[in-house]
Amino acid sequence: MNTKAMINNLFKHPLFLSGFIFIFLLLAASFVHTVFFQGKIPVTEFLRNNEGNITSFAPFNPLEVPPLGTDEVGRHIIVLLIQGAKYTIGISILVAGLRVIISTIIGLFFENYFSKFNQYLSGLVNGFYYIPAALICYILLYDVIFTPHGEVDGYSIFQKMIFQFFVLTIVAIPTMSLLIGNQLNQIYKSEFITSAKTLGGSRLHILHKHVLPFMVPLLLIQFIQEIIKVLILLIHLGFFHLLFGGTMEQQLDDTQNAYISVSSEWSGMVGNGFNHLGGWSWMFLSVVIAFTLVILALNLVTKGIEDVFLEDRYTTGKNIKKHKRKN
Amino acid sequence: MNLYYRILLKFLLTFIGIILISALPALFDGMKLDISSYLSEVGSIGSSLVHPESITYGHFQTTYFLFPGIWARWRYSMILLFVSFIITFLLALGLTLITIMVTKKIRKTIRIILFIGASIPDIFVIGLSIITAIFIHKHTNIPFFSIASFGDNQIFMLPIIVLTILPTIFFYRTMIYDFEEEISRQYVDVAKSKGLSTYSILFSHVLRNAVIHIFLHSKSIIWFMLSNLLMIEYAFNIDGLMRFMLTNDSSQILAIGLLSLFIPIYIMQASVQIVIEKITGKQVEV
Repeated sequence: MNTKAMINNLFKHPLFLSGFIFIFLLLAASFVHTVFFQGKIPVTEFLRNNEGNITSFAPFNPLEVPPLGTDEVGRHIIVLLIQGAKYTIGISILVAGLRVIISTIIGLFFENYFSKFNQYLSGLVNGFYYIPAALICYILLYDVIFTPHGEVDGYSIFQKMIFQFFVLTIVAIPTMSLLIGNQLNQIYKSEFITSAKTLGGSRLHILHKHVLPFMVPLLLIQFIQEIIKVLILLIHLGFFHLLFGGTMEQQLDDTQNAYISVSSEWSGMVGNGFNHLGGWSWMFLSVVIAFTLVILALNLVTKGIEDVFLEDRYTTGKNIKKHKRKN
Repeated sequence: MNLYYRILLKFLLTFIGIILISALPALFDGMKLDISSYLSEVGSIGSSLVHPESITYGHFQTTYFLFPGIWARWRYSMILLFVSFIITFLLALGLTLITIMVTKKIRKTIRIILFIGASIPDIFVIGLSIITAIFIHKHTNIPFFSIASFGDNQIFMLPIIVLTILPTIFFYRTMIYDFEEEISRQYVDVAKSKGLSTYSILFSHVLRNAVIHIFLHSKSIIWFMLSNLLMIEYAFNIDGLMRFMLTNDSSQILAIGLLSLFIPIYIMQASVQIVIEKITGKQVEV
């Protein structure tokens, strides 16, 4: 099957299609909101009864202000989510893309030239499997991202974003390069590469004509799984009030601090929502459910790609049986 | 290469790797790279490992010694982690064995539920558990679950439940996959044609061979659980090792904390590795 037919099949795959359409519509709504509505967020600070008297103040629960209620200053959560979607998903896609591209280059380089040291390198990198990614990111990012109350911010938003992109990318590079290196190693050992070598294919020719076509679906799946990992990392960092593009700490009163996101992406709402879990649980639940739906959609996309691209690749007993039954 | 030599080499390399990773904060001075300060930080971590009793940390403008106070925190985190891991493993294994025996239709439903379950972020489960605990507390007045720990009052029940849910889903999912992969092998057909019962095939052959794959997956499950543990300690205000490392901005404490987590986990993994290699004769890698 050639690539074009495979992509055609992919867009006929129901699971892939439903995941893809969900993400696409979410992003489209987010951009439409910014372009045509100037990113305006409707605010309901108080509700009036029939006589025009104020009956209650924000936050409102989803029953009072459908569909998802408001936050503590009365902004509608559904619109906040739509507005933030493009940043959250965009950041994840960008970081995941950078991770995959850089890791592939490093993996190829090491596989071709330094494969002797593989055992030692894998030992050193193994340390990453005993450290939560959120912990190492938190420690690296804290000084730059977090601006405590009353202190002057030393960096611009743009600098902070670049730094955060950098940190979120490099923490995954060692393990991922090793993983991709091992996958490449498997491919280089396989029979069709050996035959290509025997027939006199040069290193570049084999890479270009045999290895990369075999790797691309695997990398695509890796890329989408990596988007999910970045999303989870963003949730975790948001939970620690480390928000993308910087956190501003502001004192509301003596006991409460508000953590304000400089960019309006979702993870800022996780930490704030969690603090009000007892009374205003919808603030937390709506954003976490939004994250869950996006992750679910990405998992559906992965499933679709696996089904279409890797169908004929596994030659385990189960699939052999399946083939026999078909014929 | 010799089995014990491989285990020891991996241990030493990972040990060095963890020290190199914990010194990373010194690499960034604000946003500038500072290699010389990184190297000196690696040196200072190395020397502090030789004299761990002299490490101090500050807390509300008072300086404390790290040892022996860290052991209580370490024990707390370790109990949470290991008890949850054992429950997770047994639960997932039991569920898998049941799943393998039920009809195809039920298995498909289970797989769909697990697919959705694997998309849930850990914070969601933590949040839901707290909402549930508050709800139970409000309506029954039973202080069945304490939501947050204060001072010496250590909570175990709720964190262990939360720390078990998602890893079980992940473990269960990979185990079903491993078992089905193993069942589709040809030796199972041979055994069936020889007239062996399904149960004896499942328990004496399939289980033994699937254990290798399960062991390989357990590494990422433990990593996932460590990440969950960090969130749980922060959310439930647990005075454990993870939260201690998070709130104390010091590479020496980070290195000591990470190593004290790594060593017991690695001992467990290495002993399982030894058992597997002795029994099956196949080479596996932690």
